Amino acid sequence: MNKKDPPKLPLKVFKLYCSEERLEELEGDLFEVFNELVEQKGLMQAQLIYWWLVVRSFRSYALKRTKMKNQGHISSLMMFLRHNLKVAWRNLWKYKTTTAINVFGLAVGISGFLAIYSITTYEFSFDNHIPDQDRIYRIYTEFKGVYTGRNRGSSTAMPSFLRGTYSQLETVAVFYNWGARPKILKGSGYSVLEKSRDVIIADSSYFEIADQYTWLYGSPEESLRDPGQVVLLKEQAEKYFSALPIADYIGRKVIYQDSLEVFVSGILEQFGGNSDFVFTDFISTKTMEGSFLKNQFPQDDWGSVNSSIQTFIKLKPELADSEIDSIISGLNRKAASMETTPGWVTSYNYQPFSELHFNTTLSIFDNGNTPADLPALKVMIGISLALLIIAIFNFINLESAQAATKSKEVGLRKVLGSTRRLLIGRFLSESTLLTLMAVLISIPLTYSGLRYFSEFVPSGLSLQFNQLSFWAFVFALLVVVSLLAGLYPAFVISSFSPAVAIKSKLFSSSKGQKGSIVRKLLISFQFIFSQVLIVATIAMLIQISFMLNKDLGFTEEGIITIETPWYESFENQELFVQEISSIPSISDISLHGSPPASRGWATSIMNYRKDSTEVSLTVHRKGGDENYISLFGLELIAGRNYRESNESREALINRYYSSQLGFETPNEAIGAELSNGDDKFIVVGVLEDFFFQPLRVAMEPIMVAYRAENRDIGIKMHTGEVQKTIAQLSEKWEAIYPEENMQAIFLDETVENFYRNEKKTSRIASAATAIAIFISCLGLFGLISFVILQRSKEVGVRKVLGASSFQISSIISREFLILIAISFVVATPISYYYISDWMESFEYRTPIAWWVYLAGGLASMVIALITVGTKVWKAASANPVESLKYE
Amino acid sequence: MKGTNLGEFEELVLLTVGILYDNAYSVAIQHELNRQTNRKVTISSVHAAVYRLEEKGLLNSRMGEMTSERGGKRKRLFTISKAGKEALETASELRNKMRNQIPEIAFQNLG
Repeated sequence: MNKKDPPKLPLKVFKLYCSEERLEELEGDLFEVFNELVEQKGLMQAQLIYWWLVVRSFRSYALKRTKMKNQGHISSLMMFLRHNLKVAWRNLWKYKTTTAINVFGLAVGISGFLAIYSITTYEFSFDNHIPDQDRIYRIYTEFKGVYTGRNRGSSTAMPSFLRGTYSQLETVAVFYNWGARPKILKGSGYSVLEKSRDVIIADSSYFEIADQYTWLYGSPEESLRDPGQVVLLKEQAEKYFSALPIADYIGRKVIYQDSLEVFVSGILEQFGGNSDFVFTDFISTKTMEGSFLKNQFPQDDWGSVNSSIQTFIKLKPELADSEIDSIISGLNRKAASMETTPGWVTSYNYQPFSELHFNTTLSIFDNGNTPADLPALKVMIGISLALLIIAIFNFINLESAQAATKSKEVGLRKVLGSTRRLLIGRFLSESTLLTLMAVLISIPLTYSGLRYFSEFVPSGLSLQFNQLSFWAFVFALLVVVSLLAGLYPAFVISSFSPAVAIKSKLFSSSKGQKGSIVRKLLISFQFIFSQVLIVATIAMLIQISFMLNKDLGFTEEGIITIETPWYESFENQELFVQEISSIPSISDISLHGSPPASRGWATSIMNYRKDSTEVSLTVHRKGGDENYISLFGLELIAGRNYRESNESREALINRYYSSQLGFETPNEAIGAELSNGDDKFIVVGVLEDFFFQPLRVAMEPIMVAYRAENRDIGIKMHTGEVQKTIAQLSEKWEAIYPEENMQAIFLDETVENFYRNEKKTSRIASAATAIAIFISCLGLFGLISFVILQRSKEVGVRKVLGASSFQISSIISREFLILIAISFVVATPISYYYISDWMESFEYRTPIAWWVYLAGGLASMVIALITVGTKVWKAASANPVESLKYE
Repeated sequence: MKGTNLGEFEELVLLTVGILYDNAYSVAIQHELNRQTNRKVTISSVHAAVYRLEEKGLLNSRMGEMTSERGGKRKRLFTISKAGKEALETASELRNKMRNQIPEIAFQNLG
């Protein structure tokens, strides 16, 4: 009979684990079984089953034994490893304090690093699943001239021009970000749902760019072809109509914003990972024509640029990258020819798709995800890396300080024939074991840390325990940290000559001296870093409190603003104002466009003609009724308030504007005529400068004028009755606007929010400072314990000879104080540099006094002294008999 | 007490080794078991059982001769040891003894 050989690979696998003793008979058995199987079931199946048999044979009877009689090369290595781990474990257990300090310090350092890693990978994971990214660009708008700015949106005419002109483009996609309250027929009546903020108006081209959907019903070509169509994400459809079979959603009616009637024509499912394209409702572009939307997004208009109008283009494949530049320059020639306002240049620029998630100036979409702040991320990576390094330094310090105690072991091992390589392996396994413990602790630590600092953590981020890459990173971190931490001490300790090592004379020898210099350097580095952080944090807090407490030139406290719904009539608003003015705790009410400080702003170019010269400036605009300046306590330094009239248009300007216009005193500005095209204003009064923008920005000209039809209501209340007043307001609101919740915005909160980023940064800095100080103190504590142990005899002798506890303490502490002093000298210029750099970003800054720098040095000195002091004092006040009686 | 307790499968393997006398190696044992018990037994479970029985001292073994049937590999031939024989006897005695203690009434009305 012709025998077939079984497949080779499974047999090789088998040989890997099978003991030599059993191999022959088992191989024979398998061979026989295989041939039977071939006869019964054919070759293919037999081979599969053969694999299975090999897997099944992975049992104790076949396995290699790790007993001595079987010792090959691999098992001797295993044995050595096991020995190393055992010794390492015993050693770590013996010096519990040092171990705890090392593990804890490293765990904190690793946690910070792990957290930043998670944040970074999260931010970089966005939109990765979208295909052909390298060919996709977003076109955005830039304004140049008197006022320079950018807008992530575009005009409606621009994409149509691109579509008609350039054959290099595979796709030009336009969609409109929109938000609306949907109304759904439920039973016999309509029910209005909460506002959907992720509605877009789009056509099939959108799906060629954001290629991340599975169509459960319909297709991009048909479902968005006609007016009155809407496509929904499956979850959204479930929200609107509760769970139904997919086909049952089709044809159902949704009414957006009370009057826009559309019918469901398709259902989508979104696939892929994290996406910035989080839209839920897709209304067909054609719907706009016959609705109020055409006013909001006027078609074929070059002039109205709107951040909601999003234009994405996709180049045809295999075009040179420079193609995009030539398209943009062609587009800009066209845009220039369409420009109607003199002195004003609107141009377009492109943003590569990969930068969509990382541009904080342009941001992503209206109401969309928050873009990642790359520079801030880099700073955080830097800080976390430094913290990790500090923790590693700790380890190196403590470990090499321990050299004296380990020298005997090293000497003995060397005498018994251990090579240096084996010794290094021995100490590296100790550092690996320690790092492993730190890593294990750091994972739950990172988890809770991310929750504690949730405001810095992008929402939606969690530790990716289910991802291989996360564990690969953890493992890589383990290897790198244990090598970095372990190599130097391992080399130092293993270099001792056995004779010296056994005699334990290391610390009088030159090698001990060299080690201690490295240690001092590492400690100094830790203190420099801590001091820079301390000083920087204090400086930041000073600047932030300066900005929050600065008199802004208007009243912030006790004023709230409420915005009435834009789709409601002004009659209703009037009614509401009348109703609330009867509330006794309300002292004043004004109707205005926006309060003196607000997030958004509006500017116009205002011209002032004097003789033959014209002063043309970008001027901020605010406005409201007559009550505006009195409610907010704006100070009139010349002239009078404006009157409510649409015919004679009167305006107030700020002191800065009046001086920019060339008036020496505010009084001279009265009567000046300002114009913006056909819009003309007469200056009737000058206001003292008030800070309507964050203090980052320099004072700019502003004009306050009468404005009719305002949606914002400013309400001044008696302090102390705020909660009660708001409750009363809500009650009145409910009666008139039952559909919308009342949102009261506190003016002082708006101002505080100006500095949200700075506050975040200062919180990070504080946390980093605390961690840095904590880790360095741990290291210092561990080190001082060893120093004292080594010098216990010296302390004893000094005491016997009559030194006081205080004198001894100061002798031992002196070394550390000198180090801190050196660190102070190095840290001061560094922190000065960073603080000045940070302060540059503020137009109004408070000087940082010299004592702040000193405070950093003093703080770290005090902390170090407390750490060192407790230990030293105990040693110094111990009975000298204790330390001297052992020889 | 190691060696005295026989598992059900171990007992079957031990019996099979006895039946096959002088030609009892793993694959043959597997075949005989399949034939006698109508069960599908994999080769690796036979391996596990015979090596365990050998460890318990219930089986003896020696290496057989080379044959081309096995790709030139020798087979391990098993025979029952004295202890193995005793274990088999103890097991069957125990079983009979207990079987005989079941009162007749227990089997009545079983249909």
